[in-house]
Formats: sequence, C-alpha cells, structure tokens
Amino acid sequence: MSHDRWKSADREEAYRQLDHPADIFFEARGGNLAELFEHALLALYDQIAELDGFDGIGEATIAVEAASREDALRELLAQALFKFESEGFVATEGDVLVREASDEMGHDDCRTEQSSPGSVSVLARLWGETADRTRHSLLAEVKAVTYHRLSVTCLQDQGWRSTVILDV
Amino acid sequence: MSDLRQLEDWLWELPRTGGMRVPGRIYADADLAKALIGDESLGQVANVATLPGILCCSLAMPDIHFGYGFPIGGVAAFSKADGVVSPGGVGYDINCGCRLLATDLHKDDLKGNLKTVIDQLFRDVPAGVGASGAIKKLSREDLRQLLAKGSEWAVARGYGSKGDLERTEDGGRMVTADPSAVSEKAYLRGQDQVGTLGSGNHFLEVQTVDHIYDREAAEAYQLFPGQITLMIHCGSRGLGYQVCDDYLVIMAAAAHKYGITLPDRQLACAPIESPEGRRYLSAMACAANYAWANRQMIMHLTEQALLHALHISPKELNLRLVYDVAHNIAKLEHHEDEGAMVEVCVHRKGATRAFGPGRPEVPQLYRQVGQPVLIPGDMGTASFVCKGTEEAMRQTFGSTCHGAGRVMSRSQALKRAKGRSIDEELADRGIIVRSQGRKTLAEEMPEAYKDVERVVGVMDAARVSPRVARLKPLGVVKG
Repeated sequence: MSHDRWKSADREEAYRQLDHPADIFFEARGGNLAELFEHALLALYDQIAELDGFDGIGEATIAVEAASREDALRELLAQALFKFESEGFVATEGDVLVREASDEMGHDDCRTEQSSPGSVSVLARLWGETADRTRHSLLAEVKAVTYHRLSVTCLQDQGWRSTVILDV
Repeated sequence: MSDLRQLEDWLWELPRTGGMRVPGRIYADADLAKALIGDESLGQVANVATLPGILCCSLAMPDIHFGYGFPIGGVAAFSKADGVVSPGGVGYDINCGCRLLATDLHKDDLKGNLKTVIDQLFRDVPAGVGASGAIKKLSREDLRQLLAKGSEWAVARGYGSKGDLERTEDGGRMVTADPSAVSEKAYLRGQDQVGTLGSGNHFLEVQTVDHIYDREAAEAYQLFPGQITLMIHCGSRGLGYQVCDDYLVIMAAAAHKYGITLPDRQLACAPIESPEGRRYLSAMACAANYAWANRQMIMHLTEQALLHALHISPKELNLRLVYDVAHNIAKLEHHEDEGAMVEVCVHRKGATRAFGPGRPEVPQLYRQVGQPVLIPGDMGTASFVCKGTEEAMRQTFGSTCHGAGRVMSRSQALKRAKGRSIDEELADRGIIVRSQGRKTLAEEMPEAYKDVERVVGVMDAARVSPRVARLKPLGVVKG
C-alpha cells in the first residue's frame, strides 16, 4: 500500500505563504500540535518537490527532543531537510505524535495551554520515496530552517498557528 | 530620511540608540538610502552594533538587504581580545564566492557557436536541487583531506594548477581548518556535492569585457576589451549550510553561558577566544575550504566543456584564473583602529575583501594595484571587476559590496514573472540562459535585483573599490 495522503491534502487549510523579503515564509495551522507539525512538514516538502510524482513506498522516522515547542518544530523540519539532503527522502504522508512534559498535568489542547510546556518530544513517522532527478520534479534548494520569526502560538478556539522562514 | 544622517554623498549614519555600542554606517546614494527606510535590514545593522567588542561601526554596503542575523551586505570587525564571532555574520552559505576566469578568446570567436558552448556547460557542470556526481562520491577520509586543504586538495588531484592557488583568496586554504569540528551530518550533506553549482542565485556565466575603466589595473589582471571571460558563483553547498545550522545551536548556548544579550537568535555568538568561538572558526574554515575546492573543480569542468564544444587546444583557449574571492566569511586580520594595528575578526556577509596595494595578503602579481574585487550583477545586466584600495583599509576594514542585492522577495518575483517567459526576454537581449529549476529564472530575473551599476558606483565614488572593467553576460547556466 502506498501512503500518499499529502498529495491530495487541502493546502489552503494546512498552510499559506506570507510575504517577507526573506526567502520562504509560511504560516501553518492545526487543530492540535500534532496536526500543526504535520502541516509544517507538508509545507516544507511542497517547497522541495512536486509531491505528485512521488509514492509513499518507503518509510522514515524522526524523533526530536527540545526545550520548547518552537525548537521542537524547527528541529523536526531541520531533520526532515537533512534526510532529503543526505538520502534524497521526500515524504508524501506523515503521522506526528507530540508529547509535552506538562501533558501529565492534564494539558491536552490549546484551551488549557501551559505557559511553558517543559520538554517537548516529537515522533514523526513518514512515508515517501527517494528522489530521482530523472523522473521527479525538484523545486528549491532549501539551505536551512531558520530561527527568524519562528513561532508556535495557541489561538484558543481556533487551534494552533506557527510561522517558519526557510533560507533558500 | 527619519533615522539616517547623511555624512557624505555616498555615506549615511545610523546614530547610536538603545543597546548599540557603535553607530551604523551605510554606503548608499540618496535613492538607495531612501529605499531602505522602514526596511528590516536597517534594524539588523543596529542589532549587529549591540554585539560585544565591535569596533568603529556596524557597516553596510550599498547592496544591503534582509539576511538572517546580520543583513546581507553587512561588515563588522570585532576585537580579538574582547569581541565575538557569530555564524550569523557569515551566513548559511559559508564562502559563497566568486571566481573569474579569463581566456584568449574574443567574443567574435563565439559567434555562431555560443549556444553549443552554453549547452555543453549545462550538460557538464552539475546544477540544481539534488545535483551530484561531478566526481565520484568522496570517501570520508578524502572529504576530511579536502576540508583541511581546500583548493590544494583539488590541484593535487589534477584539477587545476599551482598557479591557481596564488590567484585565490587565502591561497584557497584556510590553515585554521579542523575537520574534527565538522559534524557527521555536515559530512553526509557534503560528501556527494563537490563540483556542483547548487541552486538559487548561483550560476556559471559566459561574459565579454565590454568596458575598461582602469587600463593599468586591467592590464595587471590581464583583461582586454572584447575578451571572453567566465564567472563562477557558488559556495560550500550542504556542508556549509549544516555547519552554520549546527553552530547556531552551540552559539545560542554559549551566548547564554558568557552572559551575552542577543537582540536576535540568529546573532548567536561567542567570544572569539572562547572554546566555542575557536571551534566555530575551525569548522567555518573547513566549509570555506570546501567552497574553494568546489569552485576549483567547477573551473576544471568548465575548461573541459569549453575544449569539447569549441574543438580547440588548451593553449588556444588559455583558460586561467584571474581571482577567486569569498563573499561570506569571518577572518582574523590586522587593521588599524584608533591609530594602532590590532588583530580583529572581520565578518563579511555578502561583502568582498578589497585589500589595497602593498598588503601581504594580496598576491604578488596584483600587489602593485590592489586585489581584484569580483562583483556579479543580475543575469541580464553586467558584472564588475573592481580593485581594492588604501581607502578601503581606512573606511571599511578592507571590504566592499558583493553584488546587486535583492530588491524583491522570491515570492514577489514569482508573482511579477507570472505569464512571462524570462528566458525569451533574455534571449531578446542576446543572452542565452539554461536553468535546471522551473522557478529559478523567475526568482532570479533582473528586476528582482537593485541596479548593479548604481551599487558599484557608490563604492567607486567612496574610493573604496574603483571600477576596473565591466563584463556583459552572453550566456548563463543556472541551478
């Protein structure tokens, strides 16, 4: 079975590009943190390649531990970028689990957001394929996931929002 | 101009406010300065001025635009004794730089076969996202050697001659490089990318010398009107990006440890003499060496492609290196500060070293006139060869601009290019363009950049880097 959910994902719901003199600036949205991080991954892969040409036949895992949600998101994206740069791996579907130290205190969603989440661990299971320049369309060479305007914020009843700038 | 104070026709001061330790100084004419008002890059000039140990001023060249941490076009020197080094003052693409090659060909020699030449270069020089395979994937030990030795590594393997080393900034090798300071991730990103151009604003261009401004310097640089030259613009590829990424994390912790307040996380830094500072400089030197080896390899691929396309002998082509300069680098250099020579760490981020006559760092063959300064423009206009001066040593720690500088974001450029065919527009101007990426040409279209003539003109008027020759593009290979 090929895991290709991202190929038909509703981009407008997942993320949008914002204007900034920097290279690629996007805002991702999600009903919960896990969905937010998944949408940010989708936004990253959309910059790297035309996902339509890829099949979700291979698998990869990324595990991240960080001191803040922002750092966790940046590290997740940086590791996904590293997997592309070193192995050519492009994902067409992903499942993300986010766990915060404060979860044990009953923290669950945006409405009960803690000011500090303690440590944040992320486990992303990705399906995809190794890029082949002769049959896949690659779009931009992303150099890095920057810290500039990096944010993860809770919008109360409207879920979560993050902003990320990629250097290309 | 609300917060800028004009000092000269071509120089503006951003006065000290808040935590700024020194003022900002921006090289610009009135129009370029006006365009900066309200731009985020001015705030970045001010942020740099808050860093410990900064000397004189936080400088910006006329091609200034938004960067991460430092603005692009930013120059700052920090006292070695009590100053800092910051990866944000160098950028992700460590030693992104420019190499100019001269030939014995005249533009008339390419009449009728320019397209063949560009197509051959496009085939033989790997470019674009995920490009690899210029040479066999390096073993870990080979890559370690390359990081330690830079261009020397490439020349020792037959990619170029010893004379090329003399015509490269730092001889194409920073001796401070320590391959053990480079992460496993950076090794993996760099292993298969030696001899590749990359993407974005990187290019390989066939040009002709269309104007000489300074005959004496042009002669020293062996440039003549109508001559065919080639320009290579690229950097340290994934290895350099990863070194920067790794050390931003290390430096954020170091800044906290040494009690340095950061106005922007991308300005993470550590004292130059701290273990973290020294280690970054060692890793950065490895990435710089990688970039020099990369451009050395691309020069070799270029020569092979030209010989093949034109069916001429190496002697007839006489391809030679004019000079190779870094545009993104931090270096320990000796400069005058308040009447005394001091050792400083000069950060040049989107800026070119412009050392004047007599400096020992300038190769013997150019020491009378000053070092060649290579300033690429956009792909439809022109590039410039300028020369370093004594005035640059006095005003800018021996630095000048590095290019036209973006005036439009990539997304703005894409919007502006919608429905247009940029390659046809360039063809109408007599410029053949080949690009791997669908979006690259739109993002890099000429109007996305400032007017390079104006940018170079400011530094000429300031007597920092007077023009020597103008190079017009004939054909461009893009990633």
